[in-house]
Amino acid sequence: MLGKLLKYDFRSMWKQFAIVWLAALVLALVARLCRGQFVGVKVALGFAQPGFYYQGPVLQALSGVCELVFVCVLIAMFVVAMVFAVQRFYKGLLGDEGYLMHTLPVKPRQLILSKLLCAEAATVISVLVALASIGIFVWGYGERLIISGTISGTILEALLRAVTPLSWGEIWLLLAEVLVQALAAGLKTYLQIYAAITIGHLFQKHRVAMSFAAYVVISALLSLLRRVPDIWVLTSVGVIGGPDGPTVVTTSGNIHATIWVGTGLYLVLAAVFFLVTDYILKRRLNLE
Amino acid sequence: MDEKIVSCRGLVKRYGKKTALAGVDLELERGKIVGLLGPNGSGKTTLIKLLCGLLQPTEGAVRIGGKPVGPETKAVVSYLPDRMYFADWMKGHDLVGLFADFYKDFDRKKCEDMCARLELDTGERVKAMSKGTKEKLQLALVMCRNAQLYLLDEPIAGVDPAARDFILNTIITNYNEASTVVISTHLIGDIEKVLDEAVFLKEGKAVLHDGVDVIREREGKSVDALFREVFRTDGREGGEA
Repeated sequence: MLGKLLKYDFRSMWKQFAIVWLAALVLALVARLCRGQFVGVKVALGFAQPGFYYQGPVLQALSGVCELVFVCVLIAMFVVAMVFAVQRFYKGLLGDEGYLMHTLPVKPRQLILSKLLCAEAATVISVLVALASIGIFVWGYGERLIISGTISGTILEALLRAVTPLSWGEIWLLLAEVLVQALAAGLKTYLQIYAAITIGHLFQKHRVAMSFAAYVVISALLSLLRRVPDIWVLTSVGVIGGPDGPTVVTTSGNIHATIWVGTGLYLVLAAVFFLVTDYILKRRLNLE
Repeated sequence: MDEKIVSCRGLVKRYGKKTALAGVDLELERGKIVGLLGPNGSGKTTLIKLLCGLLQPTEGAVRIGGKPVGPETKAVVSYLPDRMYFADWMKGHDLVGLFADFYKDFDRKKCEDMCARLELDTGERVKAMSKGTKEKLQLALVMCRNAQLYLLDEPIAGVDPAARDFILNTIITNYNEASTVVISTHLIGDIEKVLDEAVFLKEGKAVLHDGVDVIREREGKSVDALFREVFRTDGREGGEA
């Protein structure tokens, strides 16, 4: 049944996102072509050397507008992803559409999982589209951007210094671990929102306001609780609290442990929020 | 197979301080068309929502075919709510596909035939459909299931007399005869002729549950006339004149 639920949730996602994703890619291409063409023309005419980026005011303005719209679409994409996650859960399970979804022969946890996986997928695809569109935008141009100082040399140097002692294998492993943690963080974020919405739904009146309040209270509690595991985690992996006082991570083993413990904590929190949401939808559902 | 398709014991539902159901004991047998009758605010919708799991009881228990409400009972209950429950992005054929995917008892061909007969364009987006078209589509989907229990919440409210006849005719000619149909309404006159049993809900309690013929014989009047008598003192809406 989960597969069938996912089929409809993914179709809903596609209807909502197709235009935004397409717009991001097309705008990236347009912005890239504008910039590339203007620079290319000036270089060909001998007005500028390769790597020289001065443009006339009109060309600069056109290129600037393209870039601005492109950045706006990228931002809009992530706003839409967040709104989509909230709206599909709220309208789909606790609004009028809930009258259909909660009378299907499925378990509440399957309904939650379907919404969650779809929201997570929308975010992942949005990130991929953003990366692809940025790739299109800087294609054949990125190196010069870095050299010309658009990306700060000091940041680049710091990054290079940080990863120099690591082998390529370890760098890839780290990247994979960070990706897994980002996915876990996404699950936790969405489930926290779902839990807050369902807690707000327990009230007779002002359910939306109560959902916001529940989210704020949960966040405040988490920030309080985070102090305890942070100290425990960092101490246990030797990041702080050593005999010589606070130190920084010095071995790759510590980095891996820190990332995995963080991922584990996200997953534990996600599980708690999932259980709260499932309990309320199963035992306290009140579609009035 | 459990003899009673619906069994409610001491069913209480409160919304905060307001009591919607105040201890309903009710048993419904299979193969009956039952009118759930009462004025607005008497608890009809609350009772139906409890039967299909959209609300949880404050006290008491509900069983459908001897089982507590859950995915197993939802598979045999066909529910027509008092509102539209479609997602705007869907088209008519998406909804037909959804019902076919989730309900084993859904007769897709029958539904497609019915849609064609009613001249419903299933390629149209729900968002673009008129209210009447959406209602027809929803009714077709619900009645094309071979369910054991149909729960129809105010199916004839807010429509003209010609549409009422169409809706009642659709219900009567399409329901599975071994199953029970519960129709909630306060428009008794229009549905009395199709009912086997009537349940009167008053202030959250089932004050009467009997066969329609028994009521007529015992009281010497129609169910509609009895309804007006029972609910007259309420000073609330009690059936349409």
